[in-house]
Amino acid sequence: MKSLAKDFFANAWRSWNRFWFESNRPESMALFRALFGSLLFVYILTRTPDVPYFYSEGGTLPLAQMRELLDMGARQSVFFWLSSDAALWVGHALLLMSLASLAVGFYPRVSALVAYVLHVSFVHRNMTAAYGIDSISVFFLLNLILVSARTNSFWGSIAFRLCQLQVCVIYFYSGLEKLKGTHWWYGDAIWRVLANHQLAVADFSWLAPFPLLIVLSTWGTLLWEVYFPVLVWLPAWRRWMLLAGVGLHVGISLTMNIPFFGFLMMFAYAVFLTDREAGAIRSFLQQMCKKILKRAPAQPMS
Amino acid sequence: MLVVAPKRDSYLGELLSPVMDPYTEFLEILVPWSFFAPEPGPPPVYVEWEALGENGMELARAQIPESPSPYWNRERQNRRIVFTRFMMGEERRAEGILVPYLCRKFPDAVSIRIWRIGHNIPSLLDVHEGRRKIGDGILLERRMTANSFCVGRR
Repeated sequence: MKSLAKDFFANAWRSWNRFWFESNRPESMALFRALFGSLLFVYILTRTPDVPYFYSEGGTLPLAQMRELLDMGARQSVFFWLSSDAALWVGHALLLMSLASLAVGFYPRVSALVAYVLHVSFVHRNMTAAYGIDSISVFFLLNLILVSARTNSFWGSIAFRLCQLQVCVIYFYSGLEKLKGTHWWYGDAIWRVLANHQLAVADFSWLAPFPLLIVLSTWGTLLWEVYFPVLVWLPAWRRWMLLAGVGLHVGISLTMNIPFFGFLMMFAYAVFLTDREAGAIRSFLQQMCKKILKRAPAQPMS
Repeated sequence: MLVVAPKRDSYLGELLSPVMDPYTEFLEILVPWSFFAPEPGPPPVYVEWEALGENGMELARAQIPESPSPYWNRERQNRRIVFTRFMMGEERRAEGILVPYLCRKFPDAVSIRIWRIGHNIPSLLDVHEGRRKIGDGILLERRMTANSFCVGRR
């Protein structure tokens, strides 16, 4: 009995160590880093025209006013100390550079660290203008600080597992919260989203004659979200859960005006791919990039 | 690194918050994951504002976010939607943010008036049976939330 218990705990300890510290998947993480870095780069780039409106002292929320309205607690920002417009633009440019460098894997840990500090600084500078993709990105940037370019690393393994768990936590808690909502139980939650003209990309009145489709998609979304964190770990279910997730997020991107959110979640699925699968996708993307670059006409030197 | 923590308003959350809050706030990892939950998002909401000059003359009038969206890049509009939702979360917020901003933007403005415009989402059955249309503006709520003078210009 004593030796059984001893074996059990020894195995559990070994599994724990293997799970956290010996599970590095460098190809999956490299693919995720490239996709995530590129996406966040484009997302932050689209924010450029709004930097003065949301973050400058002449914008909607000067620092003193923000402190009056919001309890900032222990939140800090580089822009609390350097609040000039010049500092904001330098910060914005540095953030873009660090994301580009993260995407191509050039000093990835330093790039992730710089991107994390500046991204959080912008979020804290005006918390009224931050939303879903900003919050999710914070976690992934934080995890990527641990991932070096080396193929086998102790920290890389931890970061890989943290990214996987982060995706599961996001879905699981969003799913559980949905179980508290009446519209998710009634089956018309998807309708409430599609009929919200502030969010939907078009008028979806044509879907009203198909209520059963709405009900099934609502319950399907709920079931998938609640069970994703369990089933994605089972080899037989993994591909199906990821494919369903891609379907869901493509659907969201096509019907709602939040494309970056959908792509961010889909790109995060890279951490659930095997190194072989991730490697194949990476080389396919690299070949595509090379073809595009070859097709681009060379600019004459002036 | 933190992955899961109890909700802030729970017993455990209150017990742990003095220790956890500085850490989670500083790192910006205090996020209650609840996309489209518990209900699938608030109905469309807008802030309408009006800047008035001397003798109550209207200097400018607009709404945030603009409708339809004037931006080809939808993320700009999304940020304004989030910003509007924040302002409409508490009435003092819209007044505290927009009044000083608009007073700065319009040096001739003497006072600012703000309204909350809340739309209503038609039910699936109502649209199916032709009683309502999406974005028809029926049951629209338009309520004044602020009527304030610009400091020093009264």
